Amino acid sequence: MDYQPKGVEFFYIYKPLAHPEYNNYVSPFTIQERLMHIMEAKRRLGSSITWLADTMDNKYHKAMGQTPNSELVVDPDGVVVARRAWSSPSELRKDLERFVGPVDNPTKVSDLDLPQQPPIGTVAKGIVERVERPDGSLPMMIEPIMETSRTPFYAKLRAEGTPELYQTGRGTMYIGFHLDPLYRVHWNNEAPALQYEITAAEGVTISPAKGTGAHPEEKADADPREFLLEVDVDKPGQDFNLMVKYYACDDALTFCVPVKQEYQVTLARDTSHDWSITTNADGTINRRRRPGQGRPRPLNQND
Amino acid sequence: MYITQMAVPNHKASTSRIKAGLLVGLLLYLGSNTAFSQARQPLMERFESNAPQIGELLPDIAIHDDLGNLVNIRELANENYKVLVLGCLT
Repeated sequence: MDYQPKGVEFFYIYKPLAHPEYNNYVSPFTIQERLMHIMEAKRRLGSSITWLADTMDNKYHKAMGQTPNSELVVDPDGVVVARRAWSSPSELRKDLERFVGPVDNPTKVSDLDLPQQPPIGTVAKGIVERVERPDGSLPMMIEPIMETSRTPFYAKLRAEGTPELYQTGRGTMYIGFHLDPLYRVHWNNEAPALQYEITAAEGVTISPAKGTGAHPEEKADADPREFLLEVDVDKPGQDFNLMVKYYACDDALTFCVPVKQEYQVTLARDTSHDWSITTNADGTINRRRRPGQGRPRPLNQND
Repeated sequence: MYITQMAVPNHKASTSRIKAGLLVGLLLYLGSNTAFSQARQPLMERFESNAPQIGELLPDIAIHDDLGNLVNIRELANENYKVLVLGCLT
């Protein structure tokens, strides 16, 4: 704001979610969905800054060492003149004073009065008890198979594994199907419950290979459908197919459609996301239930 | 008797409680900062070894504008200084 009259251009580059689930947001699967996140960020923050979206293979994010909030200042020739791993408004201001000169009346954050909006609301949450992920669970590589899906991924898979699983091929895997709030959908509990099924090559044992999600008496809810599975593979890094069936129903009650979708899951760490969080029903971070606290406790799984 | 005890505060005990509270607060602050710094350490190292150094050109990478068009980051605001910050909703 202060430095735009001096010709400085600001760009915010949208990257993979650092902590999926925070405020109920889930990781986008397509560039269109990442652009929807940008629209949501503009709505929530009320900022007029120019937003850009990293490619879905996260080229820029990787070029920055997969840092969540790094900052570069670049001169008119495209040369980096200042850099930091973590954005710092006060340090950035010093940089800009050095390169283009000070401003007379620096704006304070309190002067901005940006019209911040709340996250997207949804139907009831807190109906289905959350699964407690084992200690140190970290995001796993997943690839949604777009070709076989005729609808958006209204519910999105989040898979995580324990460090021992990534290292040895044996351990506990978390899978959760989280509704994407940007589609404003819910679980219709009068329709059949979500079901998943795993197909794996020889040498890959995952149990239970089939499961049915929670089906509470409440007519509708938006809680994730979660499972804990035990994995035993010949060697780490192998992959398997995960199929899921569910009904997606929009909050405006204009559609309720059966959905069948597939993923390729690789038993390897996805380093584009940071550490995991667990949230309360309102999407805020649950600091009392950090992942792994307590005994793993699967919910509603069928053999 | 109960009222008397309530009406005459024990200043010595109160001061001790305040001191203890401040000490606990300080320890929690230092502890959380240490944990935070430790959590950030690998991140700092990744940035150091991957991100362009001062004096280097921006990487030759195309990303999307908010309409989905691909733009090379070297061609953004070519005549001006620019600031690039990574971020997301979470």
